[in-house]
Amino acid sequence: MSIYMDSDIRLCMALQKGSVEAFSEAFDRYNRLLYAYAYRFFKSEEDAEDAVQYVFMKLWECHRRLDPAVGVRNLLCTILKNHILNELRHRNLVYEKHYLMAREFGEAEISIMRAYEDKDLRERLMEAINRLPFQKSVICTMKLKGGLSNQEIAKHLNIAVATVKVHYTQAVKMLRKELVTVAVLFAAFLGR
Amino acid sequence: MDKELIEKVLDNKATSEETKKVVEWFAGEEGQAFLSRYMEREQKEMTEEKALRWIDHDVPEHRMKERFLKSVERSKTGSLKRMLLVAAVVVPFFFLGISALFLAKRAGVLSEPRYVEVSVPYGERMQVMLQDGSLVLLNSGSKLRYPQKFALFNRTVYLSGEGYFNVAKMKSAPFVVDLKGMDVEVTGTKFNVKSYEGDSRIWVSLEEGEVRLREDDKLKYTLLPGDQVEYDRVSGICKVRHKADFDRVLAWKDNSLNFYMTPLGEILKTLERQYDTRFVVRDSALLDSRFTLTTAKVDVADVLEDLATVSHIGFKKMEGGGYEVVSD
Repeated sequence: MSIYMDSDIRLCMALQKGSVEAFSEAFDRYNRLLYAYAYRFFKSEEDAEDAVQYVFMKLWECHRRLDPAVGVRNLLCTILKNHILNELRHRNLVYEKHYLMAREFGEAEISIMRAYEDKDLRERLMEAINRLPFQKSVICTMKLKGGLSNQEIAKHLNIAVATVKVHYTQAVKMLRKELVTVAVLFAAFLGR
Repeated sequence: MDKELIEKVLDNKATSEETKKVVEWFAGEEGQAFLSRYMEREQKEMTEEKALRWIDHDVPEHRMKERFLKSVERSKTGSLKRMLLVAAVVVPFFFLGISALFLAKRAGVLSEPRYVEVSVPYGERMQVMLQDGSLVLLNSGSKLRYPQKFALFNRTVYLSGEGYFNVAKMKSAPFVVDLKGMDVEVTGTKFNVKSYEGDSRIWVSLEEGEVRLREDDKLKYTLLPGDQVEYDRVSGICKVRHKADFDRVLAWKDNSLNFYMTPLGEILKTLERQYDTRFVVRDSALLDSRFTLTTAKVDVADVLEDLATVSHIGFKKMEGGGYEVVSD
């Protein structure tokens, strides 16, 4: 912990001097944490990217007044926190849409998972998946059967993660139509 | 609002109604305060590993970094550009200032002005045109000291004697006639000043415009057209005559004489100057007798003859020039 703190202080001092290398290092160190954190609240890749850009530009603007006692990580987190609060306040309707879409997708995913876990419904689901275009069907199968992440699938198929994501999202949306019947059956199954 | 419900919404596991309600609440005062506290607590023990579980895709690290470094670069050159812009604005002004200073020096606006003095001999008159276009007609026996080039904000000349001024109008630079302690200040006007050395009295007569008299920077009197002020430096008495007779005041300009109930002493002094001659008066009581005379004669002998006609005095030519004044 003390080593970590020390390196943070050293980084802070380098940032104060406005060294681009120091900013590069700070970016490498914290961008993933900040991105993932922002994504959780924004439910949008674009907004999460913008948040990371905003936070680091703020750090750049105030680098001469940096306080080593506060720490780079704490400062970045605070800037992000305030940015998230502001965005949620000023663009509330936009985020309501993001949240609803994320929820819908999550719901669709969950019902697909549940359908897959159920003996009676799995067959119907797999039939629906087989009717999907080839690559989408492969990706869905890998997700469900192999429990692979997008990254793992991308590596496996030698395609970009983004492509996997697009295919998967579209596949889930297409399956949703089928899932209406599946969900009804699922509900009937639960009620039994 | 329930913390569990909020986390359900954040994890995309709430119903759409719950989600709508909570997101709307995020924008409000209570929701913002809650979120602020919630995030502060959460951020303390947040690790990258934990956070990455919230996303189902790779962090676009390289794209974001490239964007950030580009912005940093741009803001760096941006500030350089701003500095250049500032320089682009400031530097010409700097040179402009330098050249203005240089020109002002060349034009003598800032340096101590060099003075010229003209002295008008007895029996003569002189017209002087000043650098600003003002005209001064000087009577016999007068001295005028004036700068070759006037300063930017004031025009001061020094007079001893009598002069008729026609001052060029210039609001920004008042014209001042300095009479040793008494200043006549104007901006543009026509007036006559009489202030001979050896006479404690000063006459200022205003034909046109406005004139202010100052003594030791204190305003003494403001003359309006037609006013004549006679001021005695010794007694401090200031006599003002409205509707002064300008034919009389300005008679000297046209080579004529115009005295009205004037003491002989004064008449003789004027004649001495105007005709470059000399009078000897043995009976000093004569000096106070007053005479009225108007004449445009060119020769002093003719003038004296006129004066002798209207008075009880006579003039006897002396050897070596000059006249002796005798009573009839």
